[in-house]
Amino acid sequence: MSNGEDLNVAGAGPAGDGLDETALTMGIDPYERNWMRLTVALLVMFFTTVAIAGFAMGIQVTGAYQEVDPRTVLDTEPWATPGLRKIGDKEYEAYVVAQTWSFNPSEIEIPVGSTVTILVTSPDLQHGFKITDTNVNTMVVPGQVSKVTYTFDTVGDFPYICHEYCGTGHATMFGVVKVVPEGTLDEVSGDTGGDTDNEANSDEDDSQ
Amino acid sequence: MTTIDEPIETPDVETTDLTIERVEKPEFDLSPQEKRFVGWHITVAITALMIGSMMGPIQSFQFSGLDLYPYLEPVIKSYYQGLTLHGVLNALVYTTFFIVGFANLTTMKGLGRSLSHPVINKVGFWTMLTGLIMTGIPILTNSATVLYTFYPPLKASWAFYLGLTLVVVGSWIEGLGFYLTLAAWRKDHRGVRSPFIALGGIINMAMWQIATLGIAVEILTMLLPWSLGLIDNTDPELARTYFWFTGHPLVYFWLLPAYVSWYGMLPKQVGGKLFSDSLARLAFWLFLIVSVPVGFHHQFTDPGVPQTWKFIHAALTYSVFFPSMITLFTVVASLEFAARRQGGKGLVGWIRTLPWGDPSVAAQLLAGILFMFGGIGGLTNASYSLNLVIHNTAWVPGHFHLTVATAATLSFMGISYWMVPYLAGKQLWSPKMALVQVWTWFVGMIIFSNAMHVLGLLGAPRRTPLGSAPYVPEEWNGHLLRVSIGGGILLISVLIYGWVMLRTALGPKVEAHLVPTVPIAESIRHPQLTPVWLDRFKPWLIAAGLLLVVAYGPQFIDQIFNMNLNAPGTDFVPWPS
Amino acid sequence: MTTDDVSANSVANSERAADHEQTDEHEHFKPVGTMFILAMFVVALIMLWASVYLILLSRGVTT
Ligand code: HEM
Ligand SMILES: [Cu+2]
Ligand SMILES: [Cu+2]
Repeated sequence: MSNGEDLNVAGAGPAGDGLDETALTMGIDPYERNWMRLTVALLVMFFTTVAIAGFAMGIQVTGAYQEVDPRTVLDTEPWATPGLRKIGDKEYEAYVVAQTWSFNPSEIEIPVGSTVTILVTSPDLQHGFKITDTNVNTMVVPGQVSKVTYTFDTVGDFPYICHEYCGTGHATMFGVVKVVPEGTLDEVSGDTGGDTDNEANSDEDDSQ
Repeated sequence: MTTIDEPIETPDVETTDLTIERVEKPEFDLSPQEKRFVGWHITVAITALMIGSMMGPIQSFQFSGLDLYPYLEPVIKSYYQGLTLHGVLNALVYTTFFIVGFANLTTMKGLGRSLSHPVINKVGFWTMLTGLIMTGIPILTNSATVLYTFYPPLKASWAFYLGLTLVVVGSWIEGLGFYLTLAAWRKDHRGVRSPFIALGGIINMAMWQIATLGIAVEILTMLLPWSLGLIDNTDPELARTYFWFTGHPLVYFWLLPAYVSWYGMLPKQVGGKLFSDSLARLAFWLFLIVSVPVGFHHQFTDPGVPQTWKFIHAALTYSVFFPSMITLFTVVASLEFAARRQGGKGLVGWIRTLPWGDPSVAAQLLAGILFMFGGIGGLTNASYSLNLVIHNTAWVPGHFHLTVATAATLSFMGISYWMVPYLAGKQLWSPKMALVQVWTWFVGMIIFSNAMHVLGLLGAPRRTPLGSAPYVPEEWNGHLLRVSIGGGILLISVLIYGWVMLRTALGPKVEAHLVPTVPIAESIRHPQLTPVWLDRFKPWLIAAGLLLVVAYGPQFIDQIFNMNLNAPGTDFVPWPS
Repeated sequence: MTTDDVSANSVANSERAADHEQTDEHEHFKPVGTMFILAMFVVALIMLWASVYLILLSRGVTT
């Protein structure tokens, strides 16, 4: 039985002040009422800041991208030949298989300034994929493809580490993104996977 | 006539009757049998904590290269088996048994009457205990090394899943016993506000019953049939969504009993009163509504869940922060009220006036202080893309050792410092040692948790024996060492706790007036002045249901109707034997 | 904190004619110390939260 009168009083309106016995207010202390207002203001402020990072600056979390059958995923392209594919000037796709207990490939070498779309899936258990010192951080779940795009602007080695428990070899499951200065990487070795670029690309297109 | 929400005919007349006793039947006390019944819950809980907690320091020592696992070899075969034991015994078993036991006490003592159907609660307790044994055996025999989240397709023995289900179902049954008792009380007390400590504990049970539907469905429709060989495959993403439907409210299930004590008992223990009865109740109702529809904040980095739903749950998670901020104000103000009443002076000087020499009080105050930092970390985790910085890193265990392992656990320890003597008819053995325990927990946890947070920011993964991981860079070493030092101090604290509890339980019976009583705080304002809608289940349960449908319905429909049972896992046992 | 104490309190309550005693008690109490502690908390909250936010911004854009 909801009581309109009571609900009225519940609002943070002036009726809530004081200690009128018959109106059954909440009797909120004025200081506490201000604290509650401040809390709401703080939350709105934080949330706006979060929304800016997520939507204005485009720092996004993983979304729903594509489903695959974990039992057969490694039998078909592109996952049959995981690795790096060059799709444009300083643009790459990296198909990474996370499986007990290694990443394939375990090394990705790219010139500094490259934008890489990383696609990860698992044929067996759940794994994690986090590239140290970057915002690339995603779960790897059998049946799903995790997709994230990132631009590597600093030269150096960036380990990618499995951060979800996956059994015996979990603590040793990692790989490295090697970001090398421009010109040190010859074009051929920049492409470690797939039969040809074209084939990989067309597969990609189908899946979209 | 037995429903809880019996309409009250003329609330205005009845509710302002200030001659109504504020403490329901103070002369009522639990019978020896009832005390023993509560005592069994607490005994199981503390035993689980002692075993489970032993693994924690051992894990932390591993981080800086002190590997004690070879000595555990006969039983514990790996870091991961130990971690499963640690997570299940501490976070699931200790908490659930303690919380349900404590709710038995607050229901009876708060309402000033015995349980209306004690046999229901007995059945509930034995169901929980059966479940605990069924879960414990596969963990100890290394056939359920799947951690306390048991994500498929890691496959545990069927007994593990069935046992967990029984623990949950047992807690539901006990919850039913509480509702019936409250309903019986309300029938005899038309127009009277339900006593806060009873209401708070029962709201928590209601929230828990809604929340655990997630893992109940996960286990019964997917994991149990799969582990029994009835189906061959799982849908891991759907399983995650089911799990986190339960997983986040789980943390409020741990916390709310501590809130019951902070609002409804601690003010009495420090010689004061509850600052606001209305807001204490409002906070609990808000937790009932918003604790559950927020689970996607644990799945921010999941493939298979659209960003839109993640963002909506981020916003809803922010709303859970609101009742916690109310709690912060109300509890601190209750403490200040007590201190000023006893002559406390100054802007912060009054804090010293609080009875810090009482280990029960000190424990809860220190738990509250660390919980402030737990709250800050929690808001960070919930902040959508900020989660990318810390998801599944050591930051996360760093965070929840401030919440469940301190705000809840250290408060429960504080509660046990009066409750165990009360139940056993004894005196607390060595309040001094109890104080040492409380302070070592506080100091150890600051060191441990700070180091874990920093490691997480540097990129260290969680659930990983970092002492033997090949990718650990030099710069992590100092922090790894601090984890071990914090863990060492915590080990001392746990051992003292077990010893104090044991000596108290085995100590001599003392005269009745030396045995502590149950502290029940009055509110500054008479509870009869609290609006009726803050004493009703129906509107809040309806609101909770509606919000769930809106916030979870579409994504559940999508995932269930597109269910792909196609993940078989590995054809070998994937954990070390 | 003995049983006597509890019953003494409730006797006092039932003897009380009206609610004035507690109203006064409440009105004379201004939780200034509480406000101070909470102000410190808000400062810590903003600073610690912002530090993670800045780490996020420094680690590049993921889409
Ligand atoms: C005695 C003090 C304690 C110490 C030194 C300690 C230490 C640890 C460590 C080092 C980890 C493993 C981190 C990882 O590998 O990810 C951990 C995990 C955990 N601890 Fe504790 N802990 C203690 C007490 C507690 C208590 C009292 C609780 C709960 C009531 C608790 C709940 C957990 C949970 C739920 C996990 C996560 C398990 C998982 O990731 O599956 N711990 N603890
Ligand atoms: Cu792993
Ligand atoms: Cu959560």
